[in-house]
Amino acid sequence: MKLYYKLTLINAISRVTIVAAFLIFVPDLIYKAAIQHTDDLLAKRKVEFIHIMDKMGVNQFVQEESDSTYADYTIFKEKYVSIEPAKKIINDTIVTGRRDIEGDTVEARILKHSFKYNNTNYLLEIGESLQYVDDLKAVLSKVALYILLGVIFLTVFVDLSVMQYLLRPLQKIEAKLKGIRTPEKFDYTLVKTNTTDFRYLDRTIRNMMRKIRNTFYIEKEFIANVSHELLTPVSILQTRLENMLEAGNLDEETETKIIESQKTLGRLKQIVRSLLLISQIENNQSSKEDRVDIAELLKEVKSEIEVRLIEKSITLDLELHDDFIFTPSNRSLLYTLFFNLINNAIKYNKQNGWIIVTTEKTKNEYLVHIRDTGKGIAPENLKSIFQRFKKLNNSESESYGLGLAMVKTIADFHDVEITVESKQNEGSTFTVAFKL
Amino acid sequence: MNVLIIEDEKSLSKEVQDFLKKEGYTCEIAFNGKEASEKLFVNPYDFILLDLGLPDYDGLQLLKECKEAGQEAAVIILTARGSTDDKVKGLDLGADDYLAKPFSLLELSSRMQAITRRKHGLKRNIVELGGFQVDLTNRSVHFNTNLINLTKKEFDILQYLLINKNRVITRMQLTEHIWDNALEVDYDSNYVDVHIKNLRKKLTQFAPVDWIETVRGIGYRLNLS
Repeated sequence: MKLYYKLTLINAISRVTIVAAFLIFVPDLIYKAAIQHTDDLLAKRKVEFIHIMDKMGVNQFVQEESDSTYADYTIFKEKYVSIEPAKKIINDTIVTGRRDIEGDTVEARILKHSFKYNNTNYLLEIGESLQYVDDLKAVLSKVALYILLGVIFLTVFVDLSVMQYLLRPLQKIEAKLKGIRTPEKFDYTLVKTNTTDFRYLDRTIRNMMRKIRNTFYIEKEFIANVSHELLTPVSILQTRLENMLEAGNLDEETETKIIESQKTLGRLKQIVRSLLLISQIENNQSSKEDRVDIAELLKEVKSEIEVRLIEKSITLDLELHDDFIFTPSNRSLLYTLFFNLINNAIKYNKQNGWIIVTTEKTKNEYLVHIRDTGKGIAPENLKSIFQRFKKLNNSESESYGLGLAMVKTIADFHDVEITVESKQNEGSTFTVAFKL
Repeated sequence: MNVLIIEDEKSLSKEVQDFLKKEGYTCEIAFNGKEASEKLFVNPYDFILLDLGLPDYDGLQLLKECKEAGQEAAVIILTARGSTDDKVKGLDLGADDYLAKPFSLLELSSRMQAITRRKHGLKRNIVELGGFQVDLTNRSVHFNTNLINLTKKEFDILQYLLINKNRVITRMQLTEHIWDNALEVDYDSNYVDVHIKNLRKKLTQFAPVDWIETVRGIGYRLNLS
């Protein structure tokens, strides 16, 4: 989940919690406050009522009623006063209770006060209906719910826009990192922001990218320089050996040794040239201006490589279905790519083995599959086969460990993807995928 | 023929000189651009072997001077840089050929011979070989009126043996010559033998080819008196 959504979600949740707490606790608090207020009101009214009774006498209230009971209500049955004879004197109490008032049962707060008048004990009850408190509670709950919903919508909306604004530098940094394959392609300009965290992040990433780029550069330059430096001594050796053979006054053994040395030197030459070519491609010193018909190219590789099939009686089949012109590309590099892949398929194949090259056009890609009946690649080696100087099968055939590294370099240069599937002792399939 | 070798690496220029002297060329060596520049304005040459990576001079600049000095020499660029850009630039500036280091001396002499043939304007360059007519210009081989269908590699081998006739060519020299791309050379295999076998088979249908001699353990030689 993106930080932006996470933050918004967390904020929304915290607000919902606060409003929910408000919704749960506030009506109770209000209820308590209302009770307190009612109680104060009742106490005041008691004092007033006693004052009136003192002036007018209790009988005024008692005699009027048949059962020696007096009761008085306001129209809305909110206020209530009753006096009735009582058995004994009790202390003033306030209770919440139900009273039947003219047929309705009403919940009320009731102050009970007993007093003695003319040797009779009376109980005075002064009540105040609690109906309004319940109403208040209901209204408050409703209002709180609306507020809750409103607050959530509003804050989520505000949060989204504020967060988006605040997190924009982070998104920019993210965008810079997306889809970068080499540090050369990184955008080294800093993102504009006054958030120190983002500044720190941006600067750190930039500095690390620079370090990686420099390391890459140093490595590339080293390889280019080393291979270049090696070319001159190798040239001298090659010409010297040739001159020695030309002299023609050698015994057979020496001659054989010189020829063997030429072969060894040839291998050295090949390694040096391969390294040079790889570093040239990596340093973008190769052109990419050709239009290459891949099927034609595969046919050419086949005719060129056919002589190598004889030794192990290998059959090489091309099953080319769709046409594809790859442009812009570098023909000779692509040739090397397919040559190396098919050459490997020959090298690691078994006697009377097969190599089948098929092409296939899917919705977005043009695929070339090179399938062989060779030894296959151990799963633990699959990841490292494109690394320089990795030998596939250490024991038998010689490999300079650069063939597949070269393939990978050429593929990367053309933005072409290479994948391998392999089963040991059954064979491997290399797939080259060109984007359409 | 006069050759100017412009190469700062002393051992290499000496080996090239030794070889070319035996081939009958007269050689001079310039170890740096300044020396070369002076020589270019004084003496006429038939060939200039130019190393592009000189310590004091841009090789391509020297190539320009060469043309300005009115040299009619054929220029073969020798370079360790190996980038196609250099090759194109060099050929654009009027170089006749281009050899990437490390190169084979035989390859160098073959290229020089090819240039000589071209310069002398031999329109039809046909060599008689034991009854076969090898046309080096059209790259074809005939036996009387019969055209013999050779692959590119088979013709390349025949031509290379012919240019270096009466001389043992090692398998490696042949291999390096017929595979333009050095990366594809497999030094431990004798794929050349397969091509030679096929070449012999095609030719013997018409006449014996005992003039192609297998030199055991080394390579091949085309014997032509």
